[in-house]
Amino acid sequence: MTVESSVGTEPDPVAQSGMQGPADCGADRLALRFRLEGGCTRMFAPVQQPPWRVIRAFPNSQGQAVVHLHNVSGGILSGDSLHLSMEAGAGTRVQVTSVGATRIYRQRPGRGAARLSTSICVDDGAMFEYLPDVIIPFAGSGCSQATSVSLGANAGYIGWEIIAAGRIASGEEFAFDFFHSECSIRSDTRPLALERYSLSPSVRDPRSVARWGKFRYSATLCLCHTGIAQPRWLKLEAWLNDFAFRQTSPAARWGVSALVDGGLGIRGMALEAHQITTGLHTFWNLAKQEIWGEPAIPPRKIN
Amino acid sequence: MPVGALSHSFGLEALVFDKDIEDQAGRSPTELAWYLEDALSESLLVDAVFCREAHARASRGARTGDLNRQLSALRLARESREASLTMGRRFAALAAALHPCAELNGLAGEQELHHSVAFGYALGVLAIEAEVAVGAFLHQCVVNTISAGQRLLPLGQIQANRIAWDLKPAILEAVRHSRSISFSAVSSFAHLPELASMRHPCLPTRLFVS
Repeated sequence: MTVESSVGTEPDPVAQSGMQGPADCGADRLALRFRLEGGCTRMFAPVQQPPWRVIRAFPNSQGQAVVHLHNVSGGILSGDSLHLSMEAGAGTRVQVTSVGATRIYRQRPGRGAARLSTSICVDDGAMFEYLPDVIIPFAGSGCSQATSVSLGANAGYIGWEIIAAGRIASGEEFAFDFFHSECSIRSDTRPLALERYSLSPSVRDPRSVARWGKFRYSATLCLCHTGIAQPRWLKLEAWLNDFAFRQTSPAARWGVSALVDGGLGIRGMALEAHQITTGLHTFWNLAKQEIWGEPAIPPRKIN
Repeated sequence: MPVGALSHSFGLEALVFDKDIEDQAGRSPTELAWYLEDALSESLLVDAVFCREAHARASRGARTGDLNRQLSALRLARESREASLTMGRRFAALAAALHPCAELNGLAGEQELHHSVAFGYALGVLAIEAEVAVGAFLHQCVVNTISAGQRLLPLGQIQANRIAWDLKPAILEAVRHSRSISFSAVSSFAHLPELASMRHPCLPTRLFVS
């Protein structure tokens, strides 16, 4: 299976098919559409506004279209309103990643907080991997992000979110003003996973045992497949959770739970960033082999 | 009401195992109190908001299926999710047995029913004030967690009661806060307790179901 891509110059097949477009028309938008053509996953980028940038989709050995998201401004600035819309048509195989950490810069006086919204639609029989790098909220920054994922029948989704306490290497920990996040993953019939949280370190102590405890990085990995019944997820939970328990150290801790239906949630918390990335890749690989019968392929990074 | 709450720690047992809450006579009461006070503005606040919404729906005869589905999706850790569902079903069955009526019988027939929703809805059917219902629910959650703490930590009876007493302002604040938040917007950052609840099935020795 090969992958082809087309950026910006061809008519949007999704618009032609009547699929829903980006929700927030006032934002700086990037819309990516994936369609199966002759056994290949093809990418279209009908909307691409600065600071968003994608070059082309690269094929990998599993026939996935691998896409790197660029933010040419280097991070998210106060007042930014960014909207990312990705729609994977029936039967497509897609992997989307970023080219580096998502840096949320200090708010400038008089500018509003940054907003980032992402909507992902995975159509029947499609498989979508969304693997962005860590989010780093700088001192004095404020940001709200919302991510919604909708899954069709027999559709697969693997996605993670990694949040840092700040610019750790610069000695910043929990120095941001606020970070608000909402994430939902839904099948045709019900919500599979919902997370809404607000971090305001100056108002509520993030180091509380009821929140982060001693850790500086927190990651959540969700793996969903709407065509797989709950007993298989429970079996996988038991196996992976046992593995997670054995992998745990004072500096990094992992846990695995079956979602209410159709998937697994994996949570990791660590003192160092490399402990999170190593753990995520390990669990991603183990779970993907078990459910999809193929290994995880880490995305090539453009540096 | 006896719904099996004393069998659940909702992750506290794993937090003690991992020494996030110190198992030391001098520190345990303070750390448990801090944990509960912060939980009242995170995970327990979510339950308070759903309890209040269920109470309101009982007053206008509306259904609660979407509330339960949302709560199930919000609870990432399976053990805590199942504990809440088990307690919810037991509470509804007891309420229907003690006060048979069409509304409570219908509630008891729900398969996916969380404790906070069952509690709020039942007290709404019984026309008990919403403030009292939410406050009573949170008080019960706090006391149950303290009770779990007594079995996991060097925590005496007087210390346990002092924690419960001292947390009353935080409970009332959560009750007040729950008035102004919608169930579709309430947020909670409880990554460490959720992680603890996920890890709980693997602990070498367990006193609690969750």
